[in-house]
Amino acid sequence: MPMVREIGGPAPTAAPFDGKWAILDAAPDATLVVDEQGRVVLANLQVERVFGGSRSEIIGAPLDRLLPLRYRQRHGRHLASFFANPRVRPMGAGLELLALRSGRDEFPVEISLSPIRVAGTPMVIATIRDVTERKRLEEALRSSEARFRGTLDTMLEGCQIIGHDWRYRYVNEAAAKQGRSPAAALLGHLMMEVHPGIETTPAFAILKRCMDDRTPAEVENEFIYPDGTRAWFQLAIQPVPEGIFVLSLEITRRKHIEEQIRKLNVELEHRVQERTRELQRVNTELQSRTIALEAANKELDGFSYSVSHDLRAPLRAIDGFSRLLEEACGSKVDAEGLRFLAMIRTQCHKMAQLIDDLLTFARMGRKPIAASEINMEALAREVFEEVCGQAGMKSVGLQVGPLPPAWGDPSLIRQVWTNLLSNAIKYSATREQPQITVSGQARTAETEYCVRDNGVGFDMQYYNKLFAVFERLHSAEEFPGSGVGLAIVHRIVSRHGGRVWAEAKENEGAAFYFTLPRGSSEDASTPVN
Amino acid sequence: MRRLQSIDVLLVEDSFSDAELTLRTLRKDEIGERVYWVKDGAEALDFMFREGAYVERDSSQKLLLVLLDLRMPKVGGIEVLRRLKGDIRTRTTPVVILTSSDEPRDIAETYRLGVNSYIVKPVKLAAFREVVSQVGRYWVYANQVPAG
Repeated sequence: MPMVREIGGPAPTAAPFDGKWAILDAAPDATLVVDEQGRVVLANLQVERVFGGSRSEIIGAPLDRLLPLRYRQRHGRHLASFFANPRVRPMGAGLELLALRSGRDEFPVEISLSPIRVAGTPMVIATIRDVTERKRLEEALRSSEARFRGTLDTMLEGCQIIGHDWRYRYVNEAAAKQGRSPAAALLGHLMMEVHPGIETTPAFAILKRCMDDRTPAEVENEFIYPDGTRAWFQLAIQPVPEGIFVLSLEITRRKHIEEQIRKLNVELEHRVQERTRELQRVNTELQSRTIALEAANKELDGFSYSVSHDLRAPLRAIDGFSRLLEEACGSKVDAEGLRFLAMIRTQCHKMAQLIDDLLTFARMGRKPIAASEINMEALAREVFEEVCGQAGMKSVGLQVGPLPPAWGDPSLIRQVWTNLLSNAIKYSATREQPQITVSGQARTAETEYCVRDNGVGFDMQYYNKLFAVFERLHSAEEFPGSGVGLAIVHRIVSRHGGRVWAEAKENEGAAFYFTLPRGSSEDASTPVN
Repeated sequence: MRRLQSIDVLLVEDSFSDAELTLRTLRKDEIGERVYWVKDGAEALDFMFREGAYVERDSSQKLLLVLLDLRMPKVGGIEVLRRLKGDIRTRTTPVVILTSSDEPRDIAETYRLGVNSYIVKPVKLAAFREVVSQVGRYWVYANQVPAG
């Protein structure tokens, strides 16, 4: 193949420029025609732009003036060898050199050479391209690629690029570590080769969908290693020109924690359900108990109603007719007989009193509490006078300390004072100088009151019987009573949300305490049935 | 049957002993002879409205007092009171409850129905006599009832 083009006509000369050569001015690159002696015969317009200066200075001058000094000698040899063996050397065939602009600045060039003959004289057309910009771009690209690659390589997340052919194109260190096989064992290999059976996994289906549909996906996947161990990965799959890009983050620990949380939640839910069932059971039981209690209350109510009406008539008959007997036949009955009649009536009256007290006690439980503020000091004094009057006691000493006002049902609280004060009077009546002290104090949540006497007191050993219905710590012969008074006190105070207690020593007096909650009675106003 | 013409007081009482004690007491005040005693509420209603055995009763003379027990077989005192106070023929007749019980709800209910007085029979004879005598004398001798 002829390597040298034959161009007819006269050889180019420095000037004037032959019209045939003028076409070179249209070429995009700087173009020089150089003869065998290394002299520039012709230069196109681009030469001025590339090398600086005017081409008239370049034409006729040695070519090596356009080269850095250190290359000039070598260039001469190259030139000689070129002419000795002339052939086309296209651009990018390794001819990257440095050229000199305006005799000062070096810049990279790419050169193509085409041997020609002009009118029989061997010459060479050199096309020179300034590749400064390209070199810069190449360098920028190289450093940017290095940066990105470095980033990918050192990322904590695993990064893989899998080609359309399912071969690994890129695997970073983290991905290799995650897969427990070196990158070298993966790169270029089919995914299915490396992980046999992967095609049947749901994760692969997602990879495939991304590969085929070019849609990104995110999935959490449990990976099973050949040795049977497992690990969880969060995968972000992105379509990329080469195939798909898979970003993987190991989340085994997080999964385990999540699983623990899930288990705990399930357990908690179980417990909640269990508790709910338990609560429902208790509730149901409570409801049935409430119903039973209501029924029992109704029965008790009917019972006390019946007691109230029916138990008194026979007593009235016993009292009335024994009295009538005495009146009608008094003269026929001897003293002993009259004593018997009197005993019948005494016991009859006792029975009537028991019934009265029992009914009072029963009614305490069902009377709704109508609470208001009570002046306890005035009430205690008033009740004391009343009780003393009834008992015919004149010489009982009373000391009423300042008492805080109370919040409660006035009629019920009056009953409390009545029972406590009449007890105090009753059990201190045998003393030479009966003395009763009433005191009180306000506390944060409640007010406390105390009735203290210097009477016979009682043995604390029997304390647990003190507030029970019909329980007595003294004989009825010694101190009359039905044993309901303190039970009534206890019931009233309890219904108000307060407490009752006592302290005593035999023959050394007794002190009875009760408290009432302070303030609004809303919470204490519910009747306890 | 006793002369119904001279009846001023109707005693409605199922307890024989209470009835006897009441009648004995009223006799002392010379009211006893003018008292007619029925043993339950049903009979009381027959008497008042001239039904059953009392169809023939002469009602030209108005009763001065009905002494009414509450707890009785068949028709109780509350029901009798309701009927008496709910009927134009009988609602001006004074009705006094005479019962063993001081049950608050009975007191409230009878007053709601328009009772004229509510008396609890004491257990002790002396007190019983005192109360019944007072009631009898008050309503028979002192009180005035509308004519007709």
